[in-house]
Amino acid sequence: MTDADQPAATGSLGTSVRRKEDRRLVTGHGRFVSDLELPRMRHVAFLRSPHGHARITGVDTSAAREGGFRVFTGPDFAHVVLRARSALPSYVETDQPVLALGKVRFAGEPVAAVVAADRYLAEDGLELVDVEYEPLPVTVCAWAEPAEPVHVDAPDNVLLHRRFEAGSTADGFAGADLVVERELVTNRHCGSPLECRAGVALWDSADGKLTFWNGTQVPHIVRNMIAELLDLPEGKVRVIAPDVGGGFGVKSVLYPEDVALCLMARAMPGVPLKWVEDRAEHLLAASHARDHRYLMRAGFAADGTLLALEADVTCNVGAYSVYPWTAGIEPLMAGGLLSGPYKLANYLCAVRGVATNTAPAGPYRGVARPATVFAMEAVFDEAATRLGIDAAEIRRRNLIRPQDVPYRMPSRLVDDSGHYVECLDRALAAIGYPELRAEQQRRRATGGGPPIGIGIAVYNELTGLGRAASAGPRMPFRTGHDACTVRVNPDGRVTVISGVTSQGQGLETTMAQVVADVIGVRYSDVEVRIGDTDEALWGFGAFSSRQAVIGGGAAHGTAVAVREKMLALAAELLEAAEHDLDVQGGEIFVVGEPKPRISLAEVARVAYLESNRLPEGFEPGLQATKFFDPIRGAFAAGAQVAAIEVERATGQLSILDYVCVEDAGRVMHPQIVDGQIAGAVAQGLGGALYEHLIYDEDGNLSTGTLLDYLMPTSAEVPDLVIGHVARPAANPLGVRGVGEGGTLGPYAVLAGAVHDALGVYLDTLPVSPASVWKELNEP
Amino acid sequence: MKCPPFDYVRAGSVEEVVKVLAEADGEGKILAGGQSLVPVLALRLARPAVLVDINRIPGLDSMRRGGGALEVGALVRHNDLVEQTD
Repeated sequence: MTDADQPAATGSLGTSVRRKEDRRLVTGHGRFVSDLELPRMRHVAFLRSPHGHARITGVDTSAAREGGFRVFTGPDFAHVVLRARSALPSYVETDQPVLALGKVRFAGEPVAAVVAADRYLAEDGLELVDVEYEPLPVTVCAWAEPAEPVHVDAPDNVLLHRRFEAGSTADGFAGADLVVERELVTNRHCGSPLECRAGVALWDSADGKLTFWNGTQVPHIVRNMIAELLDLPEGKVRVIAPDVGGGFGVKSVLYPEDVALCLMARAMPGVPLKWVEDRAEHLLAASHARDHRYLMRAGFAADGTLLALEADVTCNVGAYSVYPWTAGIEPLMAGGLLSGPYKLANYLCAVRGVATNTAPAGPYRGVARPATVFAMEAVFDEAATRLGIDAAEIRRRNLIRPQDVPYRMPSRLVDDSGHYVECLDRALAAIGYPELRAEQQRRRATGGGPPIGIGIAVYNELTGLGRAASAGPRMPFRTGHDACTVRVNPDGRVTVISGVTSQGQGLETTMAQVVADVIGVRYSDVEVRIGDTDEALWGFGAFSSRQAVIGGGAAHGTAVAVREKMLALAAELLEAAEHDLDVQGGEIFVVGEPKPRISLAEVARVAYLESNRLPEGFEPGLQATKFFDPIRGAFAAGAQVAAIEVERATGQLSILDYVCVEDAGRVMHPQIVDGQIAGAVAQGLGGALYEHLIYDEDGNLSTGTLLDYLMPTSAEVPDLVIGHVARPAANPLGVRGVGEGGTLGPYAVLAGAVHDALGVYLDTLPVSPASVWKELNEP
Repeated sequence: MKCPPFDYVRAGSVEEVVKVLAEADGEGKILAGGQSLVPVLALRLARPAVLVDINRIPGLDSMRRGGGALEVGALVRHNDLVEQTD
């Protein structure tokens, strides 16, 4: 690791400078919502529905009130509903109450809230609230016959459907030598950040102002939504996301609990109300994901060329359309990206989002694409086997090439990457593909050692979506831009107030690197403030692998503006020409001279304190605020390859080697980028092998603790080999998003590796010892 | 930890444990290390009327060898078992 005090002349971008946030995070000085203690603070616990679907026939809070508890129930907040909006023609808008009203739609839905001196007492208070239910028929599977509509407005439970169509699949199949048909089902799981959801809400009645400390990925969106829902002036709502312990998409949703907390705070002026979700609540009621079924039909030529693809995709969107992203988040992504990095002319894909009596499905790192990549690669694996083509070669023959770019995908998204073959070949070389194939053959021939399997996945990821690229879901907002403020302080050091947010990605560091290099100051002289809507002008937040591209672009453009003003002022003070000046390490040089003429600190001092030296026409101060919107997005490319061994007797697989090669464009901070890739692959492995949220037929979540919901630990995650193909993207920093790509490969890689090892087809995830054993032993 | 309310008895002998458990009529639980019971209590998945703490009962934390067998008391800590030398 490079020392933080490295000379600025070399620039900090592209090096692993010490992360700004590490001192506080690794020494236990992080400031999380859970750490927040305020005078007169009270704690909130939510009573949750024990039924998957039931009418509420009676609520008796008298015992709790007599016990001294403040209790809120559905009717208290009946005037507020969360109604996720989209202009897509087929979309059925539905209401999500703040606290259940009339009926409950999933086990875990908040029904009442109790306020007490501490969380323990609040949970005691919950036991005094008596709710009577009349159970209703339950639907947990999105492709089963619905038992009883979840919402009256959607009698068939379909909240959204859409067709993606290109070319003629009939023509494609007519010329096909092979048709592969598969029914593939992916396992429901969730983001599971280390810190669960958390909030503290405080209503100041004198100022008429609400402050909401919220462990969110999207503080400005939360401010906007809370102001609208509570009918408050937006300037009277302050949202603060301090340190946030992981998000992964789960924390980009505005939940009924968040709104309830703010509404309760307004009812209890001056009393800060705190709710920190525990793990059992998180598994039950934070957003779930990836409960999908893909009916795939693909036509291939004898040489392995993909000629046509028809797909029918059903996504279980749970009981509510998540606010504000809607139930479209997974189905639309699935239909848009299913064909991935492969060239395809004839495409027909029907997607639908179906409501069930399960927790709402929302964005989770990778959004639908771990499942679509699994579906696509499963089809390629089967085609390769049946056509007698090597698994890597069939992919190579179909991948989008650099010369095809810009490539219009059949869903009409435009791929600007094309570096897939390069990623794949680098990954195959890193793992020693020919040697592995030879060893696989040797074991097959001699029976020496357990069977080896090699799994392959290639994927594209649309990152950093600008206004054009974020238009797809037709929500009443476009998420293409972020703002940044760069301020040179009177001492010449720099404060950056950025609209980005961080849940561990090191965005303070990245923003500081960008600004330090543009202005020409030391990295250690730049501080970054994020996560407070009273400070930053605007940021949409962390999702869609957007912040390095968009927040980074905003930091870059703003720093350029500040540098221009600084140099203009310095030029006047020095009576030199602006274009002759350069800045390094906070010192301003005339180009070609060895010694600096003036320091940035002196220029800044003039700007703020010495108007007597300020040239005619110069406004005091050294600050700028600018927005950036890349308009389109930047596709990132990736390939993952793994070698596994399988024990036939137990179905247990062990990963021998795992390689991931990605094109993240220009790598700004190698350690952070590798950390993003490693973390994403680890989460993908969890989804592929272990994590499975299971509902029984009555709608009870039977995986309600981490004893039942298995997550990978460092013991299960293998050493990863990470490689880079750094092809700069067409944006100011040349970067592509890297936060999610790693999650896209593991399902396909591991299911494919088992197929390669044993010849069995795993159509249902996760890949567990039991599922492998069953394929081997049950006809 | 947010356990539901329960009565607590620190037993001085095995006889007392048996007596309290019998009186609890199925609603009593033994607290030894608490590794399994306490998380379940914290989630309010178990609601025993009485917890009988056996940690102070003399003799339960000893090991004995004899007659070709090793007798390990119910309160022997894993660490003591690992560290024991004879």
